[in-house]
Order: sequence, then C-alpha cells, then structure tokens
Amino acid sequence: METPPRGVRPDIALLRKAQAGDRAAYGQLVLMYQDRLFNAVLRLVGDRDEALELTQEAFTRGLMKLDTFRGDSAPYTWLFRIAVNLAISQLRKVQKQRVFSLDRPLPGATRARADDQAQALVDRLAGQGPLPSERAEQRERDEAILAALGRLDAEYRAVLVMRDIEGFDYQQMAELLGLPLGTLKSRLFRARLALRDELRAYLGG
Amino acid sequence: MSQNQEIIEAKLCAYIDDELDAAGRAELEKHLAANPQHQRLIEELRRTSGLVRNLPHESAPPELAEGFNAHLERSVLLEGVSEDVAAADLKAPRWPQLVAMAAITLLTIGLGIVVYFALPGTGARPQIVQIAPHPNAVQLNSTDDDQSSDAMMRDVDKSVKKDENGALASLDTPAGAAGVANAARALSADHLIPSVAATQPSADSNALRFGASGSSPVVLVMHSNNPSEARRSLVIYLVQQNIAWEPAQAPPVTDALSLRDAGELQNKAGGDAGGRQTAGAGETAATQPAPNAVEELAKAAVPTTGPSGSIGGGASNLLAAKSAMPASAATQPMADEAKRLRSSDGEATDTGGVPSIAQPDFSISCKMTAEQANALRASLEQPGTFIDPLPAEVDRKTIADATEKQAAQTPPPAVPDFSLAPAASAPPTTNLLPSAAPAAASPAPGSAADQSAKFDVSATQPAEVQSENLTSASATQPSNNPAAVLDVVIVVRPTDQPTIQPPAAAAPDAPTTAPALIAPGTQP
Repeated sequence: METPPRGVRPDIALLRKAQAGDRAAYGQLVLMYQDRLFNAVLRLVGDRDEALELTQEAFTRGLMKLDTFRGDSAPYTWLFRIAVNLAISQLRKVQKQRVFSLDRPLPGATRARADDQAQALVDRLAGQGPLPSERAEQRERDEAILAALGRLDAEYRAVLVMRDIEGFDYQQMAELLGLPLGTLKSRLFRARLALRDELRAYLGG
Repeated sequence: MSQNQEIIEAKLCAYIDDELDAAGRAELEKHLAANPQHQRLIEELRRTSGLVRNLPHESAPPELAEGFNAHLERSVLLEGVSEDVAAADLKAPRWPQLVAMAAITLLTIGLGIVVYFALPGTGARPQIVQIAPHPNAVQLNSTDDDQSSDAMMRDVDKSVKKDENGALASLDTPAGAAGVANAARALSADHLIPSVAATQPSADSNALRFGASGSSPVVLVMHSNNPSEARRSLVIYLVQQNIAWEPAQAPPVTDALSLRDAGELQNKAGGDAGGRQTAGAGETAATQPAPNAVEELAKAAVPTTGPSGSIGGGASNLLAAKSAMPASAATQPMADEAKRLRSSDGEATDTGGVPSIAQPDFSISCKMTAEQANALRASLEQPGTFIDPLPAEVDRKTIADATEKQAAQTPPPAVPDFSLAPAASAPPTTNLLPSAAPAAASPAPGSAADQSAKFDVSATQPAEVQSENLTSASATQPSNNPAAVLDVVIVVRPTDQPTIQPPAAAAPDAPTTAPALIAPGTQP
C-alpha cells in the first residue's frame, strides 16, 4: 500500500483513491473499519446476523456513493452515517423491542449482587486475574446492558452508542443526526435516564 | 418539552461528560451540593454511561469481508457499468409487466371469442336433424281416429309386453320393448289406415342404427298393391333428384318380431359398416345387389324420364354408382344374418339381395339432404301424386309420438324442426314429381284405382347428420340445416303382406271398442 502523503489521514487517502476508481483502496478501507462499524451496528440492533447484513449493506452503499463524500468529515463518520441511518430505519421498520438473553433484573437482587461483588473483590485480591466467577458475572452484566439497550427507543440507542461506544463529540453527533446541539444533549441525557432505569440493579452502591 | 427544560437537560448532560464550561459547572455543583438526591442521580447517570462504554468490543465476523469482497468482485466485473445503473436495473418499473399481463389477457379473451364464434362447431354440439311433421299434421291428426289410435297403441304396448312367448321374449330388454312399442304404433297406424303402415326406427332401442356416426336412418315405407310399379317410380324419382341410391336390406317390419329382427339386422349392419362412407359414386354398399337388378332398375327408369336431359344424367349417375359399388366382404355376415332372420320367420327370402317381385320388400338406402327427404315425404303424402293416384293418408300421430319419444329420450332435447317440409304448403293434389317427367311419375288417372297403391311415410326419427364427407362442414351444421345429409331407407312393401300378428292376450284394460289389430288377409 502506498504511503499517504504527509499530513493526510490514511483513511482519507484511501477514500480519495477509491473515488478515483481504485476499488482495492475501498477494500482496504473496509478492512480498516469493518470491526468498528460492525460493533456499532451490533450495539444498535442487538442481533449479530442483522448487524452483519446491515454492515455489509452500509459498505456497499458507501461504494455506490463514493462521489458523495466531500471530505467534510472523517471517512468513518461518513460510513457510520450510512450505517446508523440503515439501522434506525431497520429498527423503525421492525417496530419491535429487542429481547436479549437476559430478562430485566429483579429489584430484590441488589443485596445478593452486592454480596457477590464483595466476594468477588475478596477473590480478586487473593489471586491473580479475574476468576471464572468474575468472568461469568461480567458476561452476565454485559448481556444485561445490551438487553437494556435493546429495550430503548432507536433514537436513544443511537445517541448512546454514538457517544459512549463510538466516542463521537456532540458536534459530530448533531451533524450525523441532523439535530441542534441542545436538542442532541437533551436527548442524550434522557437516553441515559432511561437506561439507568433499566439498569438499577447494577447501579447500586 | 419546554425550552428551559431542554437547556437544563443539556447542561446536566454536559456536566456528566465533563464538557460543561467552568461557569456552568460551578453553578451546577452549587445546586448539587444543596440537593444530594440530584447528586446521586448524576452519579448513577455517570455509572450508566460507564457501563455502556465498557461493553466489550465485538469484531466483525469473517463472512462480512467475504461477502463484501464478493460484491466487490461483481462490481469489478461490471466495470464501466454504474452501480446506480445496476441498481436501477434491479428496480425496474412494474408498468411493463402490467401492460404485458393486460395484453395477454386481452389476447386470450379475443382468441376465445374467435374460436367460439368464428370456427365451426365441433362434435360437442349435438348435430341432430329431425324431420318432423309439417304443419298440416294438425289437421291430419285431428281426426276421430286419434283417440282410438292412442288407445290402440297403449293396448298393443301392454299386450305385447304381456306376451312372453316366442319372438317377443326380448321384451325384457329396453331395446326390445321400445322396438315392439314402435312396431305396435306402426301396426295401430296400419289398422287405422289399412294401406298405410308406419315403421320407425327406434333410436332409443339402438335398432336400425348404422353409419359411422351412429345416426338413425329415416325410414320411409311405401305400401303398394303394385310394388313393382312403385319401385320403378321411386327409382325414377331418385334419379330425377340426382340422389344416389343403393339397394339395401329391407327392415322386415311385417310384424313385431320381424321389426325387432330388423333392428338387430340394421344394428349389425351399423356395426359392420360403421366406418363406411356412403355418399357419391365411391360409396360402399352395405349389401351388394346383383348388377343386373340395378341395370334393370336403371332401364326401367330411363324410358320414363321423358325429354328431360337431367334424367339421363341421373340414370348415368345411377349406373356410375352401380359400377362403383364394390363387393364388400364386410357385408357378407350381415347378409347371412338377414338370411337367418328371415328364415326364422318362415320367409323364403333368399333372393341374393336382388329386389324382385318375389321379395316381399324392396328397400333402397340413399343419402339425401333433409330438404330432399322432406320433399320426398311430402311427395309420398300427397294424394294422387307420385305413383299413387289415390289420396294417401299418413299416420301423423305415429310420427308425432315417435318425435316426442325421441325428443324425450335423446339428450340434448331436439326441437322438432318443422321447417323441413317444403311441400307442406303445396296443395294436396299437386304432383310433386318434377315436371320433367309427369307421365312417368304419375300414372294415368284411369289406372289409379287398379294400382291403389298407398304410401306411408313412417315416423321420422330425429336423425343425426351423417355427412357424406366426414370432414365436410355439413357434418357440423345445426340440426335445422336443410342441407344436412341424412341416411334414408325407403321400403316398398306390398299391401297384401301380413302386417301384424296381434298378441295372444289383450290387455285387461283395453277399450272394448278397440278395433282388431289384424290386417285383412293376415288373420291366422
């Protein structure tokens, strides 16, 4: 792969080459972003197969719309815009709440979970690295978070993923979603409130 | 959501993400210090954001790249073709499909209309030609004898059915019963009009059926005291009408038994000669007459044709038809059967099929159009015409009964076609023989009393069209087509023949006034 000119981001250079007709450059761009984009889409839709299909579709549409990239944003932001629009459209089309592997945690489980956490801390201090029980607990918590995400509205899910998973700043998010900055912040605050209500069992203490 | 609330929520969101400016941060922290529950909420929201941020990172499965590479390869192969164009091809508009479907539907409907209306009918349409009594039948039927005729027919039917002996044993079969019933009607008519006998081939009994299409022939019976003269006149008439004819086995309807046997005989003839073509000079005779007999008839016809040039042509046609008659091996079993049947009746009929005076009946088979058949029938019905100078009477009731019965038993219902009687409107005394041969056709008035030949046109069965050419359009014409070709059997029968053998026992409910059913001279 040719070295991009100094001062030019590699992804932008690849996209420019792809715009010039170098489809292999676009392939490299896909390899560069596929994991990140797939992860973001997976957190949005909550289903691996659907995330895989939507990610492929996003890359394909990106290839078809190479000439629409003007360089105002990063190539990933440009691809992510395509992907998030596809995902939100898909979520609105399905109109269903994603049910993940874990049910909503019961309120009475807080005390037991706190005891388990204390025990886990003791176990961790006693040994090296996470214990199997810790790994199982972490896995259970992650699944609960994903399930809670799946129960949120698509708009709330999108801003949470963009902010807390993708790390977009407010301005990028506002541009991607086409929202005023204040509206975006307010939506993000409400999304976090909704998710907190879903994850009360894991927020105690 | 009010604008103020949105601003507050935006500040809280920025505070959680540590993106609030210093002035806003100080103001908010002052508030949170005064409200610990709000401080607790902010902490929960931060932990919630942390949970999401700490979610494991999922890598893309290998099939993502593979699937995309496959798509990329396809796009490379389609180099030069815009992706938008390709996508547009995949999203072709639907209106051409709708137009095509509409066009196919219209074409199908149009083709169906053309097939239904333009093309000639097929065998699915019943092709029935029915020769029915002409309108004068009402007058003829409105005689005092009608009621007695009906009573006698009922009487005969019942009596015959009760006779379980001998030749009537076959009454247990529907065919036999129908055949005997028809014979009874003929006999009753014969009683009413002693010189006129009606025979009707029973289509419902499958009697007298022959021909490729299984059609029933129209049987015309001429009773005459001078059968030789009647036969000669008949031949002349046919020649003049350019109707090809051939001698045929006569339906021996001298009594009920012989009628049944005639039905069997003709039925066998129909089976044997089912596929023959009977029209024109190339026809194959069901029975082969002696050539000299045909020539004799032709010679008898020629001198009486008069000056008409067409008569000679008719005679030539007759000779040509004779010469074209090959001996058919298939007819031999039928002749043998005829011989057997006649011998069983005690009749000496072994005449080799040659019509002669010794033979009780002289029958010819011919094909003629329905119009010609009606004309011939009308000629036979006309008193003082043809060869019969005396007023002839026709048992119209028998014809009507046969027509009704046939219509009731033959699906689809055949509407009697009364339009096939062109001579119906002719005056009774009109000589229907073509004017070209008036002398030959009509005997001198002075000889009429001597001949005293009387004719009967028997009941006419609804006859299916039996086309000369099976592929011709006439075979598919509707039943009311006067050009439809019919199988016609004309029987010339001496009047001194026994015509009836009454059943031994009369019906219990037979009217006491019922006349005797035994023709004169045949009383045992």
